[in-house]
Amino acid sequence: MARLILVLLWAVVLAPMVGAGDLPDAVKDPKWWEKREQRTDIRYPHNAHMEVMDEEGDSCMLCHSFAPNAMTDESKLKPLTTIANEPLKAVCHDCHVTEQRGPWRCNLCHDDKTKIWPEDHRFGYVDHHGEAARRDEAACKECHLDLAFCTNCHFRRDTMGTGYHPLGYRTLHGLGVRVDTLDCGRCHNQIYCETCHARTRFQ
Amino acid sequence: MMAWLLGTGIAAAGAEDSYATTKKLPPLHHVTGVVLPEEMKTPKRLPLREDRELRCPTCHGVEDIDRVPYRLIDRSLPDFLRGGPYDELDAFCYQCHEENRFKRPNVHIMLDKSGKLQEEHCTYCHEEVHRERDRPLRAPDYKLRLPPENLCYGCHLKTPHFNALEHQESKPDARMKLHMKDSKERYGIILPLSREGKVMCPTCHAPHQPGVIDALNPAAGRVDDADLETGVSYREHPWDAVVREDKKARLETLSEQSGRRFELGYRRIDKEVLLRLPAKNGELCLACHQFDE
Repeated sequence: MARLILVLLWAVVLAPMVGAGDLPDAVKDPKWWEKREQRTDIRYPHNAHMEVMDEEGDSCMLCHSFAPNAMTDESKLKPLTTIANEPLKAVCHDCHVTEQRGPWRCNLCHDDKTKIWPEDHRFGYVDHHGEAARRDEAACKECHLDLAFCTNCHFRRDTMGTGYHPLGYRTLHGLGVRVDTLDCGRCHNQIYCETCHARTRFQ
Repeated sequence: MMAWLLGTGIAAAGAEDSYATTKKLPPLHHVTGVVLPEEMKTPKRLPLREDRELRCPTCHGVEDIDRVPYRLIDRSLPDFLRGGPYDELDAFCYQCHEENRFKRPNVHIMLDKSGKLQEEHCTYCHEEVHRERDRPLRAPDYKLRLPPENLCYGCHLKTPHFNALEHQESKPDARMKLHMKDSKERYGIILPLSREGKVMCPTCHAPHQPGVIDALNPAAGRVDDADLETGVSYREHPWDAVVREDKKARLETLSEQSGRRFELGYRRIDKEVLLRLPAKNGELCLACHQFDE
């Protein structure tokens, strides 16, 4: 009986303590660069940047600071070093957005556009984006750097209209107007209608 | 050295003791009760007694510090050392002590102007001077005073630059070791690891002045474009503004949490010293690091 108690004591209490000093890597607190792999706001394909970094005379230390440090308090130095090591939006966007010296397509780094969408883009924004674009076009251009993003729809010539309406819609649009006039109004103002209808009336 | 003494002294003192109760200074503390000679100039903010005796309030601005138990002394107070806080404590010491007379010699300058070995500098790290410079030494014969992973801390901080600590804590895995082996063969260098297989200062830094070790010896560094007196030099770079903007919000948060102001910017390295490979073009980093994409 006593032996059984000892075995149980070993199994339940002592054995886990013996192993505690030798935890597998997965259990240990991950380092900042290991955590980075789980982050959605950081993606940096190192090899893709090697050539341009070399051409411009830059090195790893452009982003990962090895600057002199006088701080000896490790509890303060560690979080500071993490910040020093993690270039975020301002650094990436300086080349890829502001100066557009590198590829600037958003989806090159942002694999899921919904993560970087403004809040108002989430529900049916395509149907009423015109108003926002007229109000503050510059805000649109912060992300939509290439005007082709707009003209790919608005200037399409392989469909009738702007690509929003199906082929032959011009003939049938009167029915749509009567069913849901407000829906037309999301993109078209009264002048748009009157450009044709007023002319027809006067003729 | 003096800065180090000040830094370690308080921490080593007894928990409830104060100077007033014990009349004992913490170990390695600067001596008190000495009368300074007339020729020793001290700044006005470090007051001596009328007879020029150095007392606790000479250096410490904390009221009645001699009555405060060492355990309770808040060393982070700006006036713990008068005129502080000091980023580098040497600056405090040099207000009274002449920097040129007390400054530690740069032992990495191992050759005099005629190219002769300054042997007294060798013995800072080695127990014996290796005079047969044509005969390369093997690691077991280095006769270092301390294990190589601790040797540099005798003079240098453990955190002399950003990411030093992160490197010292890391142990290259099998894949990295393989890559390091390739790099060593490609460049004809060494990338030594500690006894535990961890990165240490000499993994990246070659401590010997160019010319001390035969340039063809792998132990010799491959960077020799700077003056060891000057050390690493930097130049301004437009990226500084970009980096500051990138870090601004996060540093403000960190400052609020810690009550200390932080800054991070960027200067490009102009000239570097005592490295196994150049770091300013990334070669040194890529001797160990490789990326899948």
